[in-house]
Amino acid sequence: MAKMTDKEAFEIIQAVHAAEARGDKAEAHRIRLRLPLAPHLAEFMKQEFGAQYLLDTGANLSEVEAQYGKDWISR
Amino acid sequence: MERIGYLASYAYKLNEDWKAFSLKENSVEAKSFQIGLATTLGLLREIGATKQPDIILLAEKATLAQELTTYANSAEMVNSIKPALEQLEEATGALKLVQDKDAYAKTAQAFSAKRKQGGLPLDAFREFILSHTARLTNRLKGTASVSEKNILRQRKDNLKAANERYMELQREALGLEPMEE
Repeated sequence: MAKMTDKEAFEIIQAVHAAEARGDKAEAHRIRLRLPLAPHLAEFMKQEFGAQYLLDTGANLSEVEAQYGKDWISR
Repeated sequence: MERIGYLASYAYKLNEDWKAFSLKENSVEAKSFQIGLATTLGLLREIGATKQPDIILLAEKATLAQELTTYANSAEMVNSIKPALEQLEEATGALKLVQDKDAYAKTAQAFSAKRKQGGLPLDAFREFILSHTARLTNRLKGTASVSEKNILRQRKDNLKAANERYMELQREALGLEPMEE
């Protein structure tokens, strides 16, 4: 997956804020998930709650996979 | 004259820096960041309202991991966050131990009166709360935006809530009467 551009990331953040401004927290959360999860937070989630939970949240793991390889989740 | 020259140059440079900083803070991206922090503060408030030490500790662990990886830009900062993370792990161990009455009662006997407060051991959990609260207080004295300081204050409040619940757990483990409200 191509690296998300700053412009794309900012558009997602603005869409999150728009959903929050409408009071739609669930939609804000769904949109927020589209941002690549930073490796240190992916590691935190995997360590504390397990790989399956992390996958089930629907996280975008493109950044961590780019840094640590596609098999990061199963290691 | 040289002295005044240097100082006048410096004063005008400070003025320019502040103008540039204000421009940065008023950019669309900076404003978006500040708006986002309001949601972060709300989430931290909800976490604090649970009054559950395990949730509060894990939230603080995630925050510290974030700070270590993203914001830490000096050896001093790294050398403050790393011990905080180590102490947090020790606090997590104490939180498990305090839920085992027999084991905690035995452990408590190893604490001298000096290392107790109102009969409760100043153990790894209590020490983490004390020193980490002091760290956050020091950061409140530094330069940061109001939104960022609100978050630091909330983190302190959450630690306080965790500490209060932990002290109840200590009393339960040691068979002491609950504190009166």
